[in-house]
Amino acid sequence: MQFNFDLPNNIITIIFSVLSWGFISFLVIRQFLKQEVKPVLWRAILVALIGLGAFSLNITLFHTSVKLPILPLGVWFVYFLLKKTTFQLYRRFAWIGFWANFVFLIATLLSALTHSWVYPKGQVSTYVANVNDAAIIRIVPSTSEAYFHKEQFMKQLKELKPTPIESDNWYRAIVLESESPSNYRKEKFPYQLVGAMPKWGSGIATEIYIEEDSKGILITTANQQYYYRSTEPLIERGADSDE
Amino acid sequence: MNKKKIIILVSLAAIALIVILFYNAQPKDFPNDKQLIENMNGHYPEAGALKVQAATRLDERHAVVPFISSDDHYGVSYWIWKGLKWKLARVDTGEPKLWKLNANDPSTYYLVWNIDPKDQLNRINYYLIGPRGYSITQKPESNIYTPKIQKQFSSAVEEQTYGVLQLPEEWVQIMSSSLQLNKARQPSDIFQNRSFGSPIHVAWMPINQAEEMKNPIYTFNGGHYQLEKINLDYLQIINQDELELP
Repeated sequence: MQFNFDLPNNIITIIFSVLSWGFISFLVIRQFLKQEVKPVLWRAILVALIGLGAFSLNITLFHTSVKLPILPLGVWFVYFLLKKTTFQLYRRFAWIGFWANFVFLIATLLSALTHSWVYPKGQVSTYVANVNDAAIIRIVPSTSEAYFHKEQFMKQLKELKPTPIESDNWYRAIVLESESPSNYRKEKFPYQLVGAMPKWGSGIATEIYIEEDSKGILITTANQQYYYRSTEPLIERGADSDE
Repeated sequence: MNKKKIIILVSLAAIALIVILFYNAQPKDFPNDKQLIENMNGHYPEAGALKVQAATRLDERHAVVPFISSDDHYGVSYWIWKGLKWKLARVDTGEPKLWKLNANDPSTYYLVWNIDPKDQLNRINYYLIGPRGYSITQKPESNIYTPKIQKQFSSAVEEQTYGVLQLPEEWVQIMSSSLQLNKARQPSDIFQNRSFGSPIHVAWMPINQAEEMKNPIYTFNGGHYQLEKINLDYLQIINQDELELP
Protein backbone atom coordinates (compact mmCIF):
# COMPACT_ATOMS: atom_id res chain seq x y z
CA MET A 1 0.00 0.00 0.00
CA GLN A 2 1.48 3.30 -1.00
CA PHE A 3 0.39 6.63 0.39
CA ASN A 4 0.82 9.46 -2.01
CA PHE A 5 0.47 12.88 -0.45
CA ASP A 6 0.84 14.69 -3.72
CA LEU A 7 -2.53 16.21 -4.43
CA PRO A 8 -3.58 14.70 -7.76
CA ASN A 9 -4.48 17.30 -10.36
CA ASN A 10 -6.26 14.71 -12.43
CA ILE A 11 -9.99 15.20 -11.83
CA ILE A 12 -10.92 11.66 -12.96
CA THR A 13 -8.53 10.08 -10.45
CA ILE A 14 -9.91 12.29 -7.69
CA ILE A 15 -13.50 11.28 -8.50
CA PHE A 16 -12.70 7.58 -8.54
CA SER A 17 -10.69 7.79 -5.29
CA VAL A 18 -13.61 9.48 -3.55
CA LEU A 19 -16.01 6.88 -4.97
CA SER A 20 -13.85 3.94 -3.84
CA TRP A 21 -13.37 5.30 -0.32
CA GLY A 22 -17.10 5.96 -0.18
CA PHE A 23 -17.87 2.40 -1.26
CA ILE A 24 -15.46 0.94 1.31
CA SER A 25 -16.98 3.10 4.06
CA PHE A 26 -20.38 1.80 2.98
CA LEU A 27 -19.15 -1.81 3.28
CA VAL A 28 -17.78 -1.15 6.78
CA ILE A 29 -20.96 0.54 7.99
CA ARG A 30 -23.18 -2.15 6.47
CA GLN A 31 -21.15 -4.87 8.18
CA PHE A 32 -21.35 -2.96 11.45
CA LEU A 33 -25.15 -2.65 11.26
CA LYS A 34 -25.53 -6.27 10.17
CA GLN A 35 -23.48 -7.77 12.97
CA GLU A 36 -25.51 -8.81 16.02
CA VAL A 37 -22.64 -8.64 18.48
CA LYS A 38 -21.36 -5.15 17.81
CA PRO A 39 -17.64 -4.40 17.99
CA VAL A 40 -16.35 -0.94 18.99
CA LEU A 41 -16.82 1.15 15.83
CA TRP A 42 -13.49 3.00 15.82
CA ARG A 43 -11.66 -0.28 16.40
CA ALA A 44 -13.57 -1.87 13.53
CA ILE A 45 -12.48 1.01 11.28
CA LEU A 46 -8.89 0.67 12.47
CA VAL A 47 -8.97 -3.08 11.80
CA ALA A 48 -10.29 -2.43 8.28
CA LEU A 49 -7.47 0.05 7.65
CA ILE A 50 -4.89 -2.47 8.90
CA GLY A 51 -6.57 -5.08 6.71
CA LEU A 52 -5.69 -2.90 3.70
CA GLY A 53 -2.05 -3.82 4.21
CA ALA A 54 -1.16 -6.53 1.73
CA PHE A 55 1.72 -7.85 -0.26
CA SER A 56 0.90 -6.93 -3.82
CA LEU A 57 2.45 -7.28 -7.24
CA ASN A 58 2.73 -4.37 -9.63
CA ILE A 59 1.32 -5.55 -12.93
CA THR A 60 0.23 -3.84 -16.12
CA LEU A 61 -3.35 -4.37 -17.22
CA PHE A 62 -4.70 -2.57 -20.29
CA HIS A 63 -1.64 -0.27 -20.38
CA THR A 64 -2.27 0.72 -16.77
CA SER A 65 0.04 -0.06 -13.91
CA VAL A 66 -1.96 -1.55 -11.01
CA LYS A 67 -1.26 -3.32 -7.74
CA LEU A 68 -2.61 -6.87 -7.53
CA PRO A 69 -2.96 -7.86 -3.85
CA ILE A 70 -1.66 -11.37 -3.15
CA LEU A 71 -1.05 -11.94 0.56
CA PRO A 72 -3.42 -10.46 3.18
CA LEU A 73 -0.66 -9.41 5.57
CA GLY A 74 -2.91 -6.97 7.44
CA VAL A 75 -5.52 -9.64 8.11
CA TRP A 76 -2.85 -12.01 9.46
CA PHE A 77 -1.48 -9.23 11.64
CA VAL A 78 -4.91 -8.60 13.17
CA TYR A 79 -5.38 -12.37 13.62
CA PHE A 80 -2.18 -12.73 15.60
CA LEU A 81 -2.81 -9.54 17.55
CA LEU A 82 -6.29 -10.36 18.83
CA LYS A 83 -7.62 -13.21 20.97
CA LYS A 84 -9.61 -15.87 19.09
CA THR A 85 -12.96 -14.65 20.42
CA THR A 86 -12.24 -10.97 19.78
CA PHE A 87 -10.94 -11.77 16.30
CA GLN A 88 -14.31 -13.29 15.38
CA LEU A 89 -15.84 -9.90 16.18
CA TYR A 90 -13.46 -8.06 13.84
CA ARG A 91 -12.69 -10.74 11.27
CA ARG A 92 -15.02 -9.43 8.60
CA PHE A 93 -13.70 -5.87 8.92
CA ALA A 94 -10.15 -7.05 8.37
CA TRP A 95 -11.26 -8.86 5.21
CA ILE A 96 -13.18 -5.82 4.01
CA GLY A 97 -9.85 -4.01 4.28
CA PHE A 98 -8.14 -6.65 2.16
CA TRP A 99 -10.87 -6.73 -0.50
CA ALA A 100 -10.73 -2.94 -0.60
CA ASN A 101 -7.44 -3.37 -2.48
CA PHE A 102 -9.44 -4.91 -5.31
CA VAL A 103 -11.86 -1.99 -5.18
CA PHE A 104 -8.87 0.31 -5.71
CA LEU A 105 -7.58 -1.90 -8.51
CA ILE A 106 -10.90 -1.76 -10.35
CA ALA A 107 -11.17 1.99 -9.67
CA THR A 108 -7.70 2.50 -11.17
CA LEU A 109 -8.67 0.61 -14.32
CA LEU A 110 -12.00 2.41 -14.62
CA SER A 111 -10.40 5.81 -14.12
CA ALA A 112 -7.79 5.06 -16.80
CA LEU A 113 -10.59 4.00 -19.14
CA THR A 114 -12.67 7.08 -18.36
CA HIS A 115 -9.62 9.31 -18.69
CA SER A 116 -8.87 8.15 -22.22
CA TRP A 117 -12.55 8.61 -23.08
CA VAL A 118 -12.82 12.18 -21.69
CA TYR A 119 -9.31 13.15 -22.82
CA PRO A 120 -8.73 11.26 -26.08
CA LYS A 121 -5.12 10.29 -26.61
CA GLY A 122 -3.38 11.62 -29.68
CA GLN A 123 -5.75 14.57 -30.08
CA VAL A 124 -3.97 17.92 -30.03
CA SER A 125 -6.79 19.64 -28.14
CA THR A 126 -6.18 17.26 -25.23
CA TYR A 127 -2.60 18.48 -24.81
CA VAL A 128 -2.90 22.10 -25.89
CA ALA A 129 -6.17 23.59 -24.67
CA ASN A 130 -5.20 26.97 -23.24
CA VAL A 131 -2.28 29.07 -24.51
CA ASN A 132 -3.00 32.34 -22.67
CA ASP A 133 0.32 32.13 -20.81
CA ALA A 134 2.26 30.31 -23.50
CA ALA A 135 5.64 31.38 -24.83
CA ILE A 136 8.30 30.09 -27.19
CA ILE A 137 11.81 29.34 -25.95
CA ARG A 138 14.67 28.84 -28.35
CA ILE A 139 16.42 25.81 -26.85
CA VAL A 140 19.56 25.63 -29.00
CA PRO A 141 21.92 28.33 -30.31
CA SER A 142 21.79 27.05 -33.89
CA THR A 143 18.65 28.91 -34.93
CA SER A 144 16.93 32.29 -34.92
CA GLU A 145 14.54 33.57 -32.26
CA ALA A 146 10.83 32.92 -32.70
CA TYR A 147 7.67 34.53 -31.40
CA PHE A 148 4.38 33.17 -30.24
CA HIS A 149 1.10 34.67 -31.42
CA LYS A 150 -1.96 33.17 -29.79
CA GLU A 151 -4.38 33.74 -32.68
CA GLN A 152 -2.01 32.46 -35.34
CA PHE A 153 -1.18 29.39 -33.27
CA MET A 154 -4.76 28.50 -32.33
CA LYS A 155 -5.90 28.91 -35.94
CA GLN A 156 -3.24 26.50 -37.20
CA LEU A 157 -3.90 24.08 -34.33
CA LYS A 158 -7.24 23.14 -35.87
CA GLU A 159 -5.62 22.27 -39.20
CA LEU A 160 -2.95 19.93 -37.90
CA LYS A 161 -2.36 16.53 -39.48
CA PRO A 162 -1.00 13.59 -37.45
CA THR A 163 2.31 12.53 -38.95
CA PRO A 164 4.49 9.47 -38.20
CA ILE A 165 7.49 9.98 -35.93
CA GLU A 166 10.81 8.83 -37.32
CA SER A 167 12.90 9.38 -34.22
CA ASP A 168 15.83 7.23 -35.35
CA ASN A 169 16.02 8.81 -38.81
CA TRP A 170 15.79 12.32 -37.39
CA TYR A 171 18.53 11.56 -34.90
CA ARG A 172 20.76 10.04 -37.54
CA ALA A 173 20.18 12.91 -39.94
CA ILE A 174 21.33 15.38 -37.29
CA VAL A 175 24.15 13.49 -35.61
CA LEU A 176 25.62 11.03 -38.09
CA GLU A 177 24.82 12.22 -41.56
CA SER A 178 25.16 15.97 -41.15
CA GLU A 179 27.90 17.33 -43.35
CA SER A 180 28.96 20.03 -40.96
CA PRO A 181 31.42 19.24 -38.14
CA SER A 182 29.87 17.82 -35.00
CA ASN A 183 29.74 21.19 -33.27
CA TYR A 184 27.52 22.65 -35.97
CA ARG A 185 24.54 20.31 -35.79
CA LYS A 186 21.14 21.64 -36.76
CA GLU A 187 18.39 20.70 -34.32
CA LYS A 188 15.16 19.60 -36.02
CA PHE A 189 13.01 20.88 -33.14
CA PRO A 190 14.84 23.99 -31.87
CA TYR A 191 11.88 25.60 -30.03
CA GLN A 192 10.00 24.61 -26.92
CA LEU A 193 6.47 25.80 -26.24
CA VAL A 194 6.08 26.46 -22.50
CA GLY A 195 3.09 27.52 -20.44
CA ALA A 196 0.51 25.79 -22.64
CA MET A 197 -2.18 24.13 -20.52
CA PRO A 198 -3.68 20.72 -21.32
CA LYS A 199 -7.44 20.19 -21.23
CA TRP A 200 -8.87 21.16 -17.84
CA GLY A 201 -8.72 18.44 -15.21
CA SER A 202 -6.68 16.04 -17.32
CA GLY A 203 -3.52 16.44 -15.24
CA ILE A 204 -1.48 15.50 -18.31
CA ALA A 205 2.17 16.57 -18.25
CA THR A 206 3.81 17.41 -21.57
CA GLU A 207 6.88 18.74 -23.26
CA ILE A 208 6.02 20.49 -26.53
CA TYR A 209 8.54 21.27 -29.27
CA ILE A 210 8.15 23.21 -32.50
CA GLU A 211 9.98 22.27 -35.68
CA GLU A 212 12.68 24.36 -37.34
CA ASP A 213 10.39 25.29 -40.27
CA SER A 214 7.73 26.25 -37.64
CA LYS A 215 5.17 23.93 -39.24
CA GLY A 216 5.58 20.87 -37.04
CA ILE A 217 4.67 20.28 -33.42
CA LEU A 218 6.06 17.41 -31.34
CA ILE A 219 4.26 16.59 -28.08
CA THR A 220 5.92 14.33 -25.53
CA THR A 221 3.69 12.82 -22.83
CA ALA A 222 4.68 10.45 -20.04
CA ASN A 223 4.49 7.36 -22.26
CA GLN A 224 4.01 8.54 -25.81
CA GLN A 225 4.93 11.13 -28.35
CA TYR A 226 2.74 12.72 -31.01
CA TYR A 227 3.77 14.63 -34.11
CA TYR A 228 1.61 16.89 -36.23
CA ARG A 229 2.26 19.02 -39.28
CA SER A 230 0.48 22.13 -40.47
CA THR A 231 0.55 23.83 -43.86
CA GLU A 232 1.11 27.32 -42.44
CA PRO A 233 3.61 28.38 -39.72
CA LEU A 234 2.56 27.83 -36.10
CA ILE A 235 4.92 30.50 -34.79
CA GLU A 236 6.68 33.50 -36.25
CA ARG A 237 10.39 33.04 -36.80
CA GLY A 238 12.71 36.01 -36.66
CA ALA A 239 15.37 36.73 -39.24
CA ASP A 240 18.09 34.10 -39.37
CA SER A 241 20.87 34.94 -36.98
CA ASP A 242 23.90 36.06 -38.93
CA GLU A 243 26.31 34.27 -36.59
CA MET B 1 -27.90 33.05 17.93
CA ASN B 2 -25.74 35.19 20.21
CA LYS B 3 -23.81 32.15 21.38
CA LYS B 4 -23.04 31.24 17.78
CA LYS B 5 -21.75 34.74 17.04
CA ILE B 6 -19.48 34.63 20.08
CA ILE B 7 -18.08 31.27 19.04
CA ILE B 8 -17.39 32.55 15.52
CA LEU B 9 -15.74 35.73 16.84
CA VAL B 10 -13.59 33.81 19.31
CA SER B 11 -12.41 31.35 16.67
CA LEU B 12 -11.62 34.19 14.24
CA ALA B 13 -9.59 35.91 16.94
CA ALA B 14 -7.79 32.65 17.69
CA ILE B 15 -6.95 32.18 14.00
CA ALA B 16 -5.71 35.78 13.78
CA LEU B 17 -3.56 35.26 16.87
CA ILE B 18 -2.06 32.07 15.43
CA VAL B 19 -1.32 33.84 12.14
CA ILE B 20 0.35 36.75 13.96
CA LEU B 21 2.41 34.38 16.10
CA PHE B 22 3.38 32.41 13.03
CA TYR B 23 4.59 35.53 11.24
CA ASN B 24 6.50 36.69 14.28
CA ALA B 25 8.24 33.33 14.32
CA GLN B 26 9.55 34.13 10.84
CA PRO B 27 13.27 34.71 10.82
CA LYS B 28 14.28 38.34 10.94
CA ASP B 29 17.80 39.19 11.91
CA PHE B 30 20.67 37.42 10.28
CA PRO B 31 23.76 37.01 12.51
CA ASN B 32 26.44 39.67 12.01
CA ASP B 33 29.77 38.89 10.34
CA LYS B 34 31.59 38.27 13.61
CA GLN B 35 28.97 35.79 14.80
CA LEU B 36 29.02 34.03 11.41
CA ILE B 37 32.79 33.60 11.54
CA GLU B 38 32.71 32.33 15.12
CA ASN B 39 29.96 29.89 14.24
CA MET B 40 31.80 28.56 11.18
CA ASN B 41 35.15 28.17 12.88
CA GLY B 42 33.48 26.69 15.97
CA HIS B 43 31.85 23.90 13.97
CA TYR B 44 34.59 23.45 11.42
CA PRO B 45 37.96 24.87 12.50
CA GLU B 46 39.51 23.85 9.16
CA ALA B 47 37.36 26.54 7.51
CA GLY B 48 39.61 29.14 9.13
CA ALA B 49 37.15 31.84 8.16
CA LEU B 50 38.64 35.30 8.45
CA LYS B 51 36.45 37.66 6.47
CA VAL B 52 32.82 37.50 5.41
CA GLN B 53 32.43 38.96 1.91
CA ALA B 54 28.69 39.48 1.82
CA ALA B 55 25.93 37.60 3.60
CA THR B 56 23.11 37.08 1.10
CA ARG B 57 19.58 36.09 2.06
CA LEU B 58 17.90 34.00 -0.65
CA ASP B 59 14.53 34.03 1.04
CA GLU B 60 13.12 34.03 4.57
CA ARG B 61 14.82 30.80 5.53
CA HIS B 62 17.92 30.40 3.38
CA ALA B 63 21.14 32.36 3.20
CA VAL B 64 24.56 32.09 1.59
CA VAL B 65 27.76 33.53 3.03
CA PRO B 66 30.84 33.72 0.81
CA PHE B 67 33.98 34.11 2.90
CA ILE B 68 37.77 34.31 2.73
CA SER B 69 39.85 32.11 5.04
CA SER B 70 43.00 33.05 6.96
CA ASP B 71 45.11 31.12 4.43
CA ASP B 72 43.45 33.01 1.56
CA HIS B 73 40.99 30.41 0.35
CA TYR B 74 37.63 31.44 -1.08
CA GLY B 75 34.75 29.44 0.33
CA VAL B 76 30.99 29.51 0.75
CA SER B 77 28.86 28.64 3.74
CA TYR B 78 25.17 27.73 3.54
CA TRP B 79 22.70 28.70 6.25
CA ILE B 80 19.14 27.70 7.00
CA TRP B 81 16.54 28.96 9.47
CA LYS B 82 15.61 25.94 11.55
CA GLY B 83 14.31 25.44 15.07
CA LEU B 84 13.84 29.21 15.56
CA LYS B 85 17.46 30.08 14.80
CA TRP B 86 19.91 30.45 11.92
CA LYS B 87 21.93 27.26 11.57
CA LEU B 88 25.09 26.62 9.61
CA ALA B 89 24.17 23.87 7.12
CA ARG B 90 27.36 23.45 5.15
CA VAL B 91 30.81 24.90 4.55
CA ASP B 92 32.27 24.23 1.11
CA THR B 93 34.74 25.36 -1.51
CA GLY B 94 33.77 28.05 -3.99
CA GLU B 95 33.36 26.27 -7.33
CA PRO B 96 29.83 26.75 -8.70
CA LYS B 97 27.03 24.70 -7.19
CA LEU B 98 23.28 24.60 -7.51
CA TRP B 99 21.34 24.95 -4.26
CA LYS B 100 17.81 23.56 -4.68
CA LEU B 101 15.78 25.08 -1.86
CA ASN B 102 12.78 23.08 -3.02
CA ALA B 103 13.80 20.29 -5.39
CA ASN B 104 10.30 20.20 -6.94
CA ASP B 105 10.36 23.88 -7.90
CA PRO B 106 13.19 25.05 -10.19
CA SER B 107 12.33 28.69 -9.46
CA THR B 108 13.91 28.07 -6.04
CA TYR B 109 17.21 26.87 -7.53
CA TYR B 110 20.20 29.15 -6.92
CA LEU B 111 23.63 29.16 -8.51
CA VAL B 112 26.28 29.90 -5.89
CA TRP B 113 29.98 30.48 -6.47
CA ASN B 114 33.08 32.13 -5.05
CA ILE B 115 36.05 32.01 -7.41
CA ASP B 116 39.57 32.40 -6.06
CA PRO B 117 41.15 35.41 -7.86
CA LYS B 118 44.44 33.48 -8.06
CA ASP B 119 42.74 31.39 -10.75
CA GLN B 120 42.52 34.56 -12.85
CA LEU B 121 39.14 33.80 -14.34
CA ASN B 122 37.31 36.41 -16.31
CA ARG B 123 33.87 34.85 -16.22
CA ILE B 124 31.85 31.70 -15.85
CA ASN B 125 29.62 30.44 -18.62
CA TYR B 126 26.62 28.56 -17.30
CA TYR B 127 24.79 26.03 -19.47
CA LEU B 128 21.48 24.25 -19.32
CA ILE B 129 22.07 20.98 -21.12
CA GLY B 130 19.64 18.31 -22.28
CA PRO B 131 21.01 15.51 -24.44
CA ARG B 132 19.54 14.75 -27.85
CA GLY B 133 18.22 11.22 -28.12
CA TYR B 134 15.68 8.77 -29.42
CA SER B 135 14.02 5.65 -28.13
CA ILE B 136 11.92 3.05 -29.90
CA THR B 137 10.23 0.31 -27.90
CA GLN B 138 7.85 -2.45 -29.04
CA LYS B 139 6.07 -3.24 -25.78
CA PRO B 140 4.57 -0.84 -24.92
CA GLU B 141 4.81 0.59 -28.41
CA SER B 142 6.45 3.99 -28.45
CA ASN B 143 8.67 6.06 -30.66
CA ILE B 144 10.16 9.10 -28.99
CA TYR B 145 12.63 11.74 -30.13
CA THR B 146 14.18 14.14 -27.62
CA PRO B 147 15.56 17.40 -29.00
CA LYS B 148 18.84 18.88 -27.82
CA ILE B 149 18.71 21.60 -25.19
CA GLN B 150 21.56 24.05 -24.79
CA LYS B 151 21.02 27.41 -23.13
CA GLN B 152 23.77 29.70 -21.92
CA PHE B 153 24.54 32.82 -19.95
CA SER B 154 27.69 34.33 -18.47
CA SER B 155 28.59 35.77 -15.09
CA ALA B 156 31.63 37.98 -14.60
CA VAL B 157 33.89 37.03 -11.70
CA GLU B 158 36.74 39.51 -12.13
CA GLU B 159 35.34 42.42 -10.11
CA GLN B 160 33.39 40.36 -7.62
CA THR B 161 34.61 36.86 -6.79
CA TYR B 162 31.30 35.57 -5.46
CA GLY B 163 27.76 35.38 -6.76
CA VAL B 164 24.32 34.05 -5.91
CA LEU B 165 21.88 33.87 -8.78
CA GLN B 166 18.43 32.46 -9.46
CA LEU B 167 18.15 30.47 -12.69
CA PRO B 168 16.86 32.46 -15.70
CA GLU B 169 13.09 32.33 -16.22
CA GLU B 170 13.39 30.29 -19.42
CA TRP B 171 15.56 27.69 -17.69
CA VAL B 172 13.01 27.43 -14.90
CA GLN B 173 10.24 26.80 -17.44
CA ILE B 174 12.23 24.16 -19.31
CA MET B 175 13.22 22.39 -16.09
CA SER B 176 9.71 22.56 -14.63
CA SER B 177 8.05 20.84 -17.58
CA SER B 178 10.78 18.21 -17.55
CA LEU B 179 10.28 17.60 -13.81
CA GLN B 180 6.51 17.31 -14.18
CA LEU B 181 6.82 14.91 -17.08
CA ASN B 182 9.23 12.73 -15.11
CA LYS B 183 6.83 12.70 -12.17
CA ALA B 184 4.02 11.52 -14.44
CA ARG B 185 6.05 8.59 -15.72
CA GLN B 186 4.82 5.57 -13.82
CA PRO B 187 6.77 2.39 -13.26
CA SER B 188 5.43 -0.33 -15.52
CA ASP B 189 6.71 -3.19 -13.39
CA ILE B 190 8.10 -4.02 -9.98
CA PHE B 191 11.73 -3.70 -11.02
CA GLN B 192 11.48 -0.15 -12.22
CA ASN B 193 12.42 2.60 -9.83
CA ARG B 194 9.92 5.34 -9.22
CA SER B 195 12.42 8.17 -9.19
CA PHE B 196 13.35 9.10 -12.71
CA GLY B 197 16.09 11.67 -12.72
CA SER B 198 15.58 14.50 -15.16
CA PRO B 199 18.19 14.31 -17.94
CA ILE B 200 18.33 18.11 -18.05
CA HIS B 201 21.15 19.52 -15.96
CA VAL B 202 23.23 22.64 -15.35
CA ALA B 203 26.93 22.71 -16.27
CA TRP B 204 29.60 25.42 -16.28
CA MET B 205 32.73 26.51 -18.09
CA PRO B 206 35.48 28.60 -16.49
CA ILE B 207 36.89 31.21 -18.90
CA ASN B 208 40.11 33.15 -18.26
CA GLN B 209 41.18 36.60 -19.46
CA ALA B 210 42.63 35.09 -22.63
CA GLU B 211 39.15 33.79 -23.55
CA GLU B 212 40.30 30.24 -22.97
CA MET B 213 38.76 27.57 -20.84
CA LYS B 214 40.88 27.08 -17.75
CA ASN B 215 40.43 24.75 -14.79
CA PRO B 216 40.43 26.83 -11.59
CA ILE B 217 42.75 24.83 -9.33
CA TYR B 218 42.77 27.23 -6.36
CA THR B 219 38.98 27.43 -6.24
CA PHE B 220 38.69 23.64 -6.00
CA ASN B 221 41.21 23.55 -3.17
CA GLY B 222 39.78 22.78 0.26
CA GLY B 223 37.42 20.54 2.12
CA HIS B 224 33.78 20.64 3.04
CA TYR B 225 31.72 20.02 6.11
CA GLN B 226 28.01 19.34 6.38
CA LEU B 227 25.83 19.85 9.47
CA GLU B 228 22.33 19.96 8.02
CA LYS B 229 20.93 18.15 5.00
CA ILE B 230 20.49 20.50 2.03
CA ASN B 231 19.97 19.85 -1.71
CA LEU B 232 23.29 21.02 -3.06
CA ASP B 233 24.31 19.82 -6.53
CA TYR B 234 27.87 19.86 -7.75
CA LEU B 235 27.99 21.07 -11.34
CA GLN B 236 30.11 19.39 -13.95
CA ILE B 237 32.49 21.35 -16.13
CA ILE B 238 31.59 21.21 -19.80
CA ASN B 239 34.21 21.32 -22.55
CA GLN B 240 34.08 23.41 -25.70
CA ASP B 241 33.88 20.30 -27.89
CA GLU B 242 30.73 19.13 -26.09
CA LEU B 243 28.89 22.28 -27.12
CA GLU B 244 26.89 22.86 -30.27
CA LEU B 245 27.64 26.14 -32.00
CA PRO B 246 25.34 28.51 -33.85
